[in-house]
Amino acid sequence: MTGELFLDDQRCSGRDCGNPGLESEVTDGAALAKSLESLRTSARVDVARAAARSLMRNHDELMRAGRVTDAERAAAEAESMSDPDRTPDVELGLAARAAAIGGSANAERRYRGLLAALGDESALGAVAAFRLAHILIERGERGEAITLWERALLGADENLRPHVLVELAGGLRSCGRRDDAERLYAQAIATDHPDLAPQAALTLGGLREEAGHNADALELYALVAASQHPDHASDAEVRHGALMHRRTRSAIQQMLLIELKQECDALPDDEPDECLNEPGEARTSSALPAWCRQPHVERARPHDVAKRRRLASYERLLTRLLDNDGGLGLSAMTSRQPTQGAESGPGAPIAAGAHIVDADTAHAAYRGLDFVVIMATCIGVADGHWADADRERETTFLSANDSRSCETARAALPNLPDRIRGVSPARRLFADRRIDIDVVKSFVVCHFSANHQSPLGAVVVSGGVGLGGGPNVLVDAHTVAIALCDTSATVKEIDRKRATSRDHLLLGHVTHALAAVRCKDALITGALSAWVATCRTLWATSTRGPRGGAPFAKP
Amino acid sequence: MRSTARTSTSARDLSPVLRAEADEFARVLNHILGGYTTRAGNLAALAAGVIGAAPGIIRMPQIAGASRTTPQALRRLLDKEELDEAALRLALVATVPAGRLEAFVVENVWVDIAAGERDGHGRHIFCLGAVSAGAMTPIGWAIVDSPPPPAEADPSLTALDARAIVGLVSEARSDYETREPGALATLGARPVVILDPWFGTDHRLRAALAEIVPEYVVAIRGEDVLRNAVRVHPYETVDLTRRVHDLFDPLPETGPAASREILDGSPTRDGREYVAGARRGPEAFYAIARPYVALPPGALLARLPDDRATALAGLAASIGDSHAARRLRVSDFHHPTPQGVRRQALLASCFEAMRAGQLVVGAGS
Repeated sequence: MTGELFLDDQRCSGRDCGNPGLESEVTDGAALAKSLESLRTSARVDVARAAARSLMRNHDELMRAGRVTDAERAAAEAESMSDPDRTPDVELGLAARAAAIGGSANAERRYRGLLAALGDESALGAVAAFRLAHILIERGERGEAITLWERALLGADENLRPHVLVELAGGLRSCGRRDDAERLYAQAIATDHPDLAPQAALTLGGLREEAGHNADALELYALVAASQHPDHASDAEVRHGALMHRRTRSAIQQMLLIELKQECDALPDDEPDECLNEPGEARTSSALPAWCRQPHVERARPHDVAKRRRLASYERLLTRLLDNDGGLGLSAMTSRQPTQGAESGPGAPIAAGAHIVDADTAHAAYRGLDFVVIMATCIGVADGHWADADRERETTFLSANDSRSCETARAALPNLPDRIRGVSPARRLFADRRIDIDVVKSFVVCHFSANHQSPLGAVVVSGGVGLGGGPNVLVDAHTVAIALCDTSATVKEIDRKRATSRDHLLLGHVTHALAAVRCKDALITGALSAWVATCRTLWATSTRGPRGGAPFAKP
Repeated sequence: MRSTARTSTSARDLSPVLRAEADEFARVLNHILGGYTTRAGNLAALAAGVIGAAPGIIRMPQIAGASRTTPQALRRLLDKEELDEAALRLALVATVPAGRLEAFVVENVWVDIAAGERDGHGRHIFCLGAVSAGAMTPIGWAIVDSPPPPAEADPSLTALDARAIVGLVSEARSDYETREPGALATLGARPVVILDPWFGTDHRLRAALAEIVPEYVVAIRGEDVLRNAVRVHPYETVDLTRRVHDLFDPLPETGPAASREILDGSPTRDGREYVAGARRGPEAFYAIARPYVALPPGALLARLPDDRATALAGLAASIGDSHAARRLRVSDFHHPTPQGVRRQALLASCFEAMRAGQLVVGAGS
C-alpha cells in the first residue's frame, strides 16, 4: 500500500514526469510562464497534500492522547483539503473515522469515491473495497459485499490479500458455495499469514471434516497444531483429538463387529426364529460395513436370521460398551461366557460390569466371544519377538495392518511375510480397506482366545525395525503393537475361577500387554484403570534401565 | 630545565603488579604463539603497557619504555613480523565455549585520527564479542580506515564496514568450528547482534549477513524512516512517513512488543526480516531482526518467526555496550596501520582474559 502511495506522490507532484517539453520551450516567454504556473500549481498541490496528511497524523495522535475535540477539528481541516484522487490515504483515514463514529453513510460515500478514483486494481482501492464490504455486511447486503471482496482481490497486495481471501471464503461459505470457499481457504493457507493462515486451515479442516474427508481434516488440524499459534493451535488439537476419537470409535465398532460376525458364522443353526421380524434388523444390517452385508438377500433363511439377530445383539452390546467409556476411553472389553461350569455362571463382562448395568449377561449374545481388549494411543518398542509370530494366532491386528499397507504403500505388500499376510479367515475378513488407517496404526489389540494354547507371549511390532532387522515397511509413523495373552493365564483358566479371579487374571493380561508394548497412554474402563496406572508407573521405572529388554513383568 | 616531551608520550615503567601480570602473560603467549621468549615478552609488555598507559592518546615510545625495548622493535612486531593472529583468536574463543555462547555481538567505535597523522581522516574500530551470561568477551577485531586504500572497488565506508563485519563473523564461526568441530551446527547457529544503530536501515550489511548467518539483529533508531512495506491490518492508518517508533506506538513499558514483518514480496516467509522493539531500561530499543525457525517444508510459520524476532530484539536490548575498544585502549592507540591496531587489540583482549583467569598457560594449544 505504501509503495503505491510513493509512486502516486511522484506522479502527482510532477517532479518526475513534469512537463516533457519544458526544456525546449524555455526560450519562449509565454511557455516559460506557463511552465512556472504549472510548477506553482504542482507545488500548491504538494503543500495541500502534505498539509492534509499532517493534519490526519495530528488527528491520530490527538485521538491517542484522548483529545477528542481537537482531533475532530484536525479531521475537519484534513477533510477540507483531501480528495480521493490526490490523498487517498487521508480519505481512507477519514472514512475509517466516519465508520468508527457511526457515520456509515459518510464512510460508504468516501470508500465509493476512492473506488471510483483508484479503480479495482489499485492497492488502496482494494482496501477501500474491503472496508466497504464490511459496512455492507453490517447492513445485511451480503451479495454486494461478496462482489466487493471479489473486486478487492484484484488489487490486493501481499498485505491485504489473506484478509480478503478469508473474508470472501467466509462469505461464499455462508452462501452455500462450499467448493469456492474451500479453494479460497486453501489460497489463504498458502499465504502463510501469521494469523489468518492457521485460521483458514482450521476452518478448512472443519469443512473437510463435514464433508467426510477425515484424513484431510486431520492433516489440516495437525498443520495448525504444529504452528503453535496462540489462538488456533489448541482448538486444532482439540478438534484433532475429537475426530480421532470418533474415528477410533468407528474403527473399534467395525473391528468388533467383524469378530462377532465371524463368531456368528461359526455357531450352529439351532436358534429359534423369534426375531425374524425384529424392527431394528434392517437398521443393524445397514450399519454394518458394506462388504459385511449380504448382497441381494431378499428372503433370509432362518439360520441367517438367527445370526443376524445375534449380530444385532452384539452390536448393542458394543454400543453400550463404547458409549460407557466416558467419551475418552478407547477401550472395549467383551467376555466369552462359558457354556459349562455352572458354578462360574454368566458373570458380568470383565471390568465392564459397572458400565453395563442393564446387560443381560445370560443372553445368548454373550456366548462364543473371546476376550478382546483394545487399547489406543500406544507406542511400542521393538523387542524382536517376531520369532514367535509364526505361531498361529487369532489376531485382528495383522490384517488391519495389511489394509494399512495397502492404502499407504502398496509397494510394501510384497514385503509382508507370508505368515503375517492374511491367510486365516479372520485376517482376510479383517482386511477391510475402509478401516481408518490413522486409527489402526495407533492401536493395540489384545485378543485372548480360548482356542489358543498356553503359553503365549506378547508380540510387539516395531515401527522402525521389521523382520530380520531390516526397516519395517509397514509402519511409517507410530509404532504399532500387538499383545497376546501372557504365559501364566489363559481364558480356560479364567473360566474356571470365580469372577473376581477372572478379573484379576484378565487384568494381568492387560497390564502385561501394556508393559509389553510400552503403552504410554491407555484409558481403560472400570477397575482396570488402577491397574493400568500401576503398570505405567512400573513401566516408567523399568524404562530407566536399558531399553529393548524383556517385556515388563506382570505386576 | 622543564622537559618538552608530552606527558602522554613520556615513557614509564610498568607498575610492579602490571609487570608481574605482563610476565605471566608472556608465558601464556609463549604457549599460544610459540617462538622466542623475548618476542613473547615484548608482546606481553606491549599489551600491558597499553592497558597501563596514562589516559589519552597512546604512542609507541611510551610502550617501548614499558617493555624496555625500542619503538622500532615494537613497530616491527606489529607491522612486519609474522604473528599468528588465528592462534590468539582461538585462545579467546576457548574462553567462551560454544555451549555457553548466546550471541555474537558487534560493537563499533569511530575514532577521529588527529590531523596530520592520517590527513584528518577517521578510523572505524569493530569488536566482535561472544556473549555469555550477560558478559561480552572480545574474540575478534577489525579496523577500517577512512579513506580506504585507492585499490578498493567500493570505497564507501558502509561497504567497507559491512565487509569488515561479515569477515569478523565468518572468522569467528570458523574459529569455533576449529575449536569445537560441529558444536555450532549441533547447538544451533547463534544470532549476530549489531548493537550500534550506525547502519540505520541500510540494507547492504543485512544482505551480507544473511549470506552467512541465519539470524541477526541490527539496531536502528526510532526516528529512522522505514521505506519497506510492513505487515499491517487493513484498518490500520496508511501513513507515508512511517518512522520506526510509529510502528510501536506505544512501545510497552514491560514485556515484549509484537514485531512487524517486513514484506518483501517473496513467495515464502522464510528468511524475512522483522522490525522489532524492546525496552532497554527506560529507553526504547529498535532493531531489524531476521529470525530463523526450523520447520519442515509445508508447515505454517504462523507467529513463530514473529515471536523469535521479538525474542531476538529482547536479547539484543539486554546486551549493553561493553565499550571494549575504550576499555582495552584500542581507540587510544593511534598506530598508523590497521594491522598493528588489530594485533594490539587481540593482545589486549588476551591480556584481559588472562587477568580474569579465563586464559591460563596452555590455553590455545
